[in-house]
Order: sequence, then structure tokens, then C-alpha cells
Amino acid sequence: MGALDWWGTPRALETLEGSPVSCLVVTWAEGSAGDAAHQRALAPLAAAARQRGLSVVGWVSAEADLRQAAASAEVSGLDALATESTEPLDGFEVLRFAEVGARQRSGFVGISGAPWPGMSMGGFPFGGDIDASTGPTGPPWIDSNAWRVRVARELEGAQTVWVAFDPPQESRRPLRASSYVQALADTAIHGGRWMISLDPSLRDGLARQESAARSVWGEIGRGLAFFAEHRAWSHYRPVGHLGVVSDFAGDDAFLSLEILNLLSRQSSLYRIVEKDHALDEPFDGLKAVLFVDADTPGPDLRRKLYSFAEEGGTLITPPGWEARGTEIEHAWPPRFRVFRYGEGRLAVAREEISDPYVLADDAQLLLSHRHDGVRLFNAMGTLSHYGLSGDESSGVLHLVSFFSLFSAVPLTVWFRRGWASARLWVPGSGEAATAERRAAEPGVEFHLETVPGYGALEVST
Amino acid sequence: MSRRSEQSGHGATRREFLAGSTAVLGLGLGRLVPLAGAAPAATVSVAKCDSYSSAELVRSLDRMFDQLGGLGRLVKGRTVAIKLNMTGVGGFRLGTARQGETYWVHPRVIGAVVHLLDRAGARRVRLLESAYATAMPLEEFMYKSGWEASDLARAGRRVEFENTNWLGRAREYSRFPVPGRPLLFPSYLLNHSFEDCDTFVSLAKLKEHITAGITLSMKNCFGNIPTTVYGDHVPEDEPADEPRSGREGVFHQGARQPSRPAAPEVDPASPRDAGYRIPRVVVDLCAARPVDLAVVDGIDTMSGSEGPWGLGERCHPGVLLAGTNCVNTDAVGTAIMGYDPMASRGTKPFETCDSFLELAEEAGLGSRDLSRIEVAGTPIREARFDFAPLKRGRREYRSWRPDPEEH
Repeated sequence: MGALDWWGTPRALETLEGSPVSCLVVTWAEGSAGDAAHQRALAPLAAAARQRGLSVVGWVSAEADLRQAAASAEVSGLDALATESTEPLDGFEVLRFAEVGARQRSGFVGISGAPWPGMSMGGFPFGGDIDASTGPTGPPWIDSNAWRVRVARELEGAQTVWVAFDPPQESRRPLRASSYVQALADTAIHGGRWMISLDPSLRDGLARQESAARSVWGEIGRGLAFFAEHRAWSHYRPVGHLGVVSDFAGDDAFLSLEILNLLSRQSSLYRIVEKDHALDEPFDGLKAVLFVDADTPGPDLRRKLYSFAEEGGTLITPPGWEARGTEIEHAWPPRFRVFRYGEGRLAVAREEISDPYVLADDAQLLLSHRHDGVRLFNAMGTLSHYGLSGDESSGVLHLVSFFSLFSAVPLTVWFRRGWASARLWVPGSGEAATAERRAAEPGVEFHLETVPGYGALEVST
Repeated sequence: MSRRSEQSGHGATRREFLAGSTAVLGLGLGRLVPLAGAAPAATVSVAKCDSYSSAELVRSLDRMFDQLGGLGRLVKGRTVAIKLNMTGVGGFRLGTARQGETYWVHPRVIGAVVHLLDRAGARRVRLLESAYATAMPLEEFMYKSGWEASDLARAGRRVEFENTNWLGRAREYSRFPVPGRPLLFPSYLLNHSFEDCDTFVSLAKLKEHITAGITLSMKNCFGNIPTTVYGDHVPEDEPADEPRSGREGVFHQGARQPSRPAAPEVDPASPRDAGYRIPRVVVDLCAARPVDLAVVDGIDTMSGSEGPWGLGERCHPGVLLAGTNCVNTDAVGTAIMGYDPMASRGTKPFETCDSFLELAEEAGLGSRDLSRIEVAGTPIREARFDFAPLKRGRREYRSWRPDPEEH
């Protein structure tokens, strides 16, 4: 029996014994003549899964007949179907998936076509033949889905977010356990769930009960348990100093969503402000507001935005907005005319900026690093996400380090806020390690001996 | 393309400068070798300074500048440009030590120098550095790196910042011809800030260097060079708009020429060895844009390298240096580090490179002969802090590359 066949048998469920996995997703229909036979073959697995208390979801490709698939799923006792199909269906639960860039509005948001989180080899600063021009993140380029989960939670009203992505095909050797934990973390930071997908080597190894494979699987399980135990962190409010205002839809969707993606990749602290809610939403704590959409907003919102600048903030707009105040000569970046306006600044683009790399980079510089709330040292290839508890008495900084060279180097985290203490949590370690504190002017630094692929620094007053 | 005026360093005209460096003796094969004894020698001030307390720094530096004849004659009513030493991307530390405690000049030393320049009557003070692979304003680079640039801005009445790694606010680069006999390039295109100043200060770190042996005030000037013109990926026919990389291709490896209209190197058949090339670029730069005041922060620093990538170790020499001649100053600094400033290639700290001190002396920029240099303040033997026993890390330039299989 081949590994793939083995995974279709009830014996495969023994792998899940003691793990936090509570749902099994099986390929259910591909729109081919073999679907019915395939579904019959899966019946014992589905029955065994239900006996173990697992939910079973059938994946239906967009080309398959969703009604037919639902009918067979109901007979087989599946709990739901998952699909990218937009075909309407009543009477059976369907978890709808859409590509990363597509907006959805639902309690459940499924994201498909997502990249495997990690460092892309497209850009690196120190190689002779490697181009360093990788956009505003600065090299190296890192793929991440955390931003997309955040969008689902904040813009699409999702209570449940599933993200589907597979291990990189080009990898020539088995993925490390830490890579799987990073994949879990990148999704879980904002409360999403990765539909775990194993690389062929690990699948084969588990089918053969190899100890190395079981060890990797054990670490994945400990990672899942960790994020389940700390699920409260996913409800922490992201710290944001740059407000990004857009309707995030229609013609503005690509630019505005991609800016969120890019701001996340450079670990910028931003807040998502949907244009329809911008009038009611307080701008407290924001140092700058980036208005993305090409069409100018209505007079009330326009007035609010100008007032924000007049009272000390920085308003960043597309071209065509009324210039107010005194223009600053030689202002940076050169793509903007920048004016002193009241206590703050107004930055009006000279021309339409359609490149999200450029706009995200410029927005961060117009916000200014003087307002950074957190800075990392010796953290090349590390993505961070900073959130605060509801009463702001504690916070968490997620650190996903994709560059193992730096995992052996002490890492320093600086916070503008003078947190009294910090503890580093690492999946599987049980206890959190207290981080050494050193006062800074302003703020405070915490020194971490090493950070493996993922760690969460919990800070408190 | 503007051309640097006849006014050279120390208030001397270019003609006077050249006259001072033309004490040469013709040898065989047409090579001109200057008389080392003719190279200028000026006082170098040395002070023990145990901490980065602002009060102690101001007190020490004030006394040191007095020992050099006072700052007023150098800066009163003038625009002073200070080349800082902030190598690398800014996010790196040696262990957990801050950059200023290891491989960057400490911000409080900058603040103290700016304060004293201001007090001495400088019309304005401009802080310069070529921020790695970015055109972002220098203040932003500082903030991003963990410095409070606003503190530095408040250290004097008129303090400005400029990232010199690109064209900046000027319409064109300033061309700095190398007087006398250029060693690698006949001239260098630099940001206007190096021309638009009356007094040029190199404010450097006392540390070793993977490629050049030591850093100090002369090697600090390597960072004057904009990578929009001399970078690895710039177009051949014109400078790039923004910096994107380092300068290894043009300078360390000699794998390509700079963008036009920068002049190509003097001898394309010369060695492509970084240990040959980098010391010569350093000397060229110090000849083309002379250093009027060299200040070296050796309070806390690191061994083995110019940055954490060299894998050295943190150390505490607890010393400050200042001089009006950068070669003299660096010679004294080299001696304080426990090395012989008269050493040539093959001898520490120049095991794998030519000595830029030796080349500079030959070019008539200054003497490295301690018997000719007056040391004011703390004698060298009392300030000496031996670097040789410390961890040295790697001794050659090597790119960092990620593991292609890493995910």
C-alpha cells in the first residue's frame, strides 16, 4: 500500500491520537468520473473519524457539481463541504473559499491559493548576484498570510478563518518542524487556522511510522496546542499608528489590500479604517492617515481628515486634494508635496501612485520612524505583530523568524512603552522565559538569547 | 557637474596643498615616491574617557580641542559637515550591545561634538552618512536604527542631516579630483554636502576592519561614496535614482566601473584584490576631500571587524582621539590599539591588505611616524588597549547568503 492509499484508511487516524486536530478535510469531488468510487473508498475513513469525534469536511473542486457532491456527502455523513465554487446551495453546509485577494463577507472566510509563509529567494542584500530591490519590506522578501487573516477578521466580519496552502513544491528536502510551526503561527496570530498540509516526505514517513516523521508531527501538535491555549492573544487589538482608509473594494481593492499586505511585511503598525466607518471611528492614537482611494470622500469625512492634520497628524492623500498650509521645500519622499498645516502635515501625491510597494514605503516614511512603537535588532527575516489586551495592561509581540542564521543570535526588542516585564513563550517549551530588561531613552529594551522559528513575547505593566 | 573649488582642507588653497605634497623623489621605472619625512605631522590629542556620560564627553572633548589649538579657528562662522560612522543596515547589533557601544560612533559623542562646534561659533552643523541601500532621510535612518535624531538636532542651534548615499537635494553630484597621483580613481563623484561645507570632520569609531585592517577616521571616509553612482546594480550610463546595494562590485572586487559620468579607474589592469583596492580608495578620498578634524570614539567598541557580521567581540578601550591630520590621528589610534602604525602588508593589522597609513604617508597626506607626531593629553602607553588578543572573527569579506532550502 502506498503512502497516499494509507492516508485514505482509518489507520491514518491513529496519527491524530492525542493531537488537537479536530477536523479532517478530505478530497471529495473533482468533477471526474472517478468521484463516486473515490467517495465510496473514503467511507470507512469518514466513519472512523466520526467515531473519534472528528468533523469531516469534503473538499469539492470548483469544476465539480456541488449539488451532487452535497448529496453524496450527506449520505456519507460528512459535516460540511469546502469549495471555491460560487454555485449556490441550500440545505447542506458549505464553507466557501476564495483566492487571497478576493473580498468576502461571511462568518466563515476560507482563503485559498495562499503562499507558504517564508523567505522568498528573490531578493537578498548581501549576495553578489542577488538583487536587493524587493520593495518596501527591504530585503529579504517574506511571504505571509497573517495580513489576510487580519483583513478577514476586521473587514469581512469573519469569526472563523481557514487558510489553505501547501508546502513549497521546490523544496528538495523535508521541511523542518519549525517551518510547520511558522506556518501555524503565521495563520494563528490573528486567529486563523491553517488547513494543515504535509510535504510528501512527511506524509510518507508518517505512513511508515518513522521516528523522525513522528517527531515532526509531534512538534506540529505542540504548536497547535500552543495556539489553542493562547487563543486570547488573537483577540488583542493590533497596535496601529498609521490609519489606512479605503473602501477596500472595487477599483480600490487591489491597491488598498496590497498596501495592508506590504505594511504587514515591513512590520509597520497600522490600523484598518473602512471608509464607511471612518466618520464615526475615532482617530485616537494615529499619527498619520493614508487615504488610498482615488475618489475624494464626502465633505464630512474630508473635513475630519483635514482636521486630523491640522491638529497634529499627517494626512497622506492621492493627487488632486486641496493644498493647505505652507509647502515644505525638499520634503521627503519626492513623490509628495508636503505642507505644514496647523500643528501637523499634509502630504499630497504629485501623481497617482499605483504601485503599492512605493505607496506603502512612502506612507511609512511620511508617518516617520520617530513614531515606531517597537523595533527589532538582529531580526533580519523576522515578521512581527504587536497587539494589546483590551485594558492595555499587557501585550504580545509575535516573532516569526524565517532566517535561521539569526535564530542563534541574541535578539533585542525595543518598545516605546516602558513595559515592566516580558516573557518569551515558545511552543512546546511549557514555561515562558523571562527576558532581560534594559531601560532605554525613551522606552525599554528586552534581550532574548535566541528566538527559534516562532516565539511570542508577552509584555506587561 | 560642479567642480570642487580651489579651497582645500585646513584653509589652504589647492595649490598650497599640492605644494605641500610634492616633496617627491623620482625612482626608477618612472614611479614617484614621496619622501615620508615630508608628510605633515600635527598634534593628536588623546584622552581617557570611561563612559558616555554627556558631561564627561563634553569636558574631555573640550579639553582635547583646546590641545589642538581650539575649535574656533576651524569652525567659527563656517558650515561644518561631520561624516558619521554608521555602517550597515542599522538593525544589527553585536549580541545585545547597542550600535554605539560597538561599531557605530556613539550618539552622545556626536551630540557632544555638535555642542562644542556650536559653542565655538559654527554657523551650521551638517550630519552626514550614506545610509545603507536607501535614500531615506538620515534622520529616518537614525530613528529606524534606534537613535533619537531629535536629540542630535537640539545639540546645536542649526543642525541639519543629509543622507549622502545619493544625489540628495542637489541637481548634480560634486566632482572631487584626486590631487597629485590618484591611486585608484582620478576623481570621485560625491553628494554636494562634501563640497557645501567649509570644514569637514570625520567622526569615527576605533575598531578593526575586515578588509582594511582598521577603520578610524580615514576609512570612515569610504562611506562618503554614493552607491547610486558606485553601487553594484547601477546603470552604466547614468547614476541610479536611489541606492539599492553596497559598493563591493566597483571597489572591493573591481568587477565593474561606476556609472557615467564618474571617471573610470586609473588602471583597469590593477589588482582586483580588495586588500589592494580599498586602502587606495581610502587614501584617494582623503586626498580629494581632506579631513579638517578627525575625532575617534574608542570608549566602547568591538574587535575583529567593522560590524557584527565579522563576529568579533565587544571591548572597552575607554579612549577618545582628535587631531587635525587624519593620518596622524589614525597612526596614533593604531598604536593605541596595540599595533605598529609603520606596519606594512603582511603584518597585523594589515595581514591581508596594504596599509592605508603607509599609502597616505607616501601620498604626502600625513605622517604615520609616531616620533614625528606630538601627542597631547594621555600618552599612548597609558591609553594603549591591545586588540590583537581579542576575538578576530573572519578576516575576509564574505557575502551572507540564505540557505536556499530554508523555509
